[in-house]
Amino acid sequence: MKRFKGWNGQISADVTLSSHVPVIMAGPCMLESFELGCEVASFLRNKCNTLNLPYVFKSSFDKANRTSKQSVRGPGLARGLQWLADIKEKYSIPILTDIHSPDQVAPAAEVADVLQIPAFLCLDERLLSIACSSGKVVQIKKGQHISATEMFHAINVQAEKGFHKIVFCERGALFGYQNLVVDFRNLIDARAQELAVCLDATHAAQLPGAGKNSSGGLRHVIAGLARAGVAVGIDALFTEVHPSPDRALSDAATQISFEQAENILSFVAKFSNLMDSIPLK
Amino acid sequence: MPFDFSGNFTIVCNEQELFEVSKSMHSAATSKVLMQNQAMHEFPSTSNRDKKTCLGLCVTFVDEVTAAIQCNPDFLYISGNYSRQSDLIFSVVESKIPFFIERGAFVSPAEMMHVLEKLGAANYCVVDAGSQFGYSDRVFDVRSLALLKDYGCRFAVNLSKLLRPAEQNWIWSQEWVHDMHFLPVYLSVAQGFSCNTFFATAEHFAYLQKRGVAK
Repeated sequence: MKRFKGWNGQISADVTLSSHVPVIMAGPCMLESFELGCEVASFLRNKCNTLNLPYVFKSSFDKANRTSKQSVRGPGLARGLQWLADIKEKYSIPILTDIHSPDQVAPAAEVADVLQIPAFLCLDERLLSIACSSGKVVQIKKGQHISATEMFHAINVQAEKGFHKIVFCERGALFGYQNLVVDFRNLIDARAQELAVCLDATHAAQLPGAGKNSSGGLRHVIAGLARAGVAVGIDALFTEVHPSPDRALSDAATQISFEQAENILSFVAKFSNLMDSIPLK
Repeated sequence: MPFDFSGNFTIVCNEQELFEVSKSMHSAATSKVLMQNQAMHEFPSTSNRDKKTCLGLCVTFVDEVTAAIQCNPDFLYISGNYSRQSDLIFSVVESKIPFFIERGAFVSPAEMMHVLEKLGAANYCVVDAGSQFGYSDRVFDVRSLALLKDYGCRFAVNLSKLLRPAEQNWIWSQEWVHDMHFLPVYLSVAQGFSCNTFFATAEHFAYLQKRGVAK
């Protein structure tokens, strides 16, 4: 079993982070309804089971930083967490969801196995500390406006307090306005820091604010980014999946269909083992 | 006296020396830099604060807004990293306290207009602190000031964050991008857009004083 700095990468009894067989963190961007969550969870769990890939269901109960004030935000904390708890029980899968303020940590930790810190809040020491002290795995999305160096510093601050169950997540760096590029050097450097590494192939394809009152995106590059991430040796792959991406209520331009998800998962299952057998030097 | 955004030419310091410097100024603000060592429970109480010093508090989450209100501050400050957090913005607006809201370095000037739509008719002033340009570097995009002026809202410029973004230090960063001789240039450009409120660290403020461009 691969060891990360200070912990073994275990998310739940059946799911452990590893570049040998990366964990698939996937689901709809927003928990639009309980039925949608079930549909996506059922599809991805079955597909991952078939391919022997560890799976974590991801969805958000609140989109707290939508571009427009008119945009839908989701079911909210209480109802959203109840839906996530029901999905967790129904499909026997771990849950990942994001938190946006310190008061959300305790209730979210009752349900979620992985608490995710949004990119804009990645340097908030108070939020990071409270999230880490919950005892759950904390996935921190590196802000698109900061370097990996700063992110490592923030992670090290938590490590010095004894909090090690942290996943470094790359989701692209700003490249001019409304444009992101993935700096794969960050994944390599994060591995060198002995951190668990995740690539968010969905948000890395985003074009922030480029849509009308929302973000645009380049859905067609997501599979390629995911493959490149596997080649670098990621321990987890994050992607957002929707049965009808174009009709999704958030991040419609970057959610992928079941068919696209199946294509990506097949690649991960077939090649991650092979890639991992030839270490990066 | 209610806090007035439209005061005369003002330099505001945002580091540890803030309160000393601010005693001789029209207004003052704190920033995340100052607040790092000042947790919410350490906010000054109404009874022990210096009434001659204008008090601004940096808020990051809704519970801090609640705590800040108890201190009767002259204004609140939302740092750029939190400029997209809807609940924080709405709670600050609801507090009725005048506030500064900084454009996040990752928010384009055009996207900032969506943020301003969330503010409605609140008493606020937008702070421009530059746009991210690679790691640990920012550029002053004057198109932002042009858009803000067209929008008809008050705006200020954070000179120090333009020069050296807080909490950002990429190991390969080049020192020339942080050279203080850019400060008077930024100042002049902003004044060209009728901007009369600025934020600067004590070090940067002293530099501007030495150059004779700040009182």
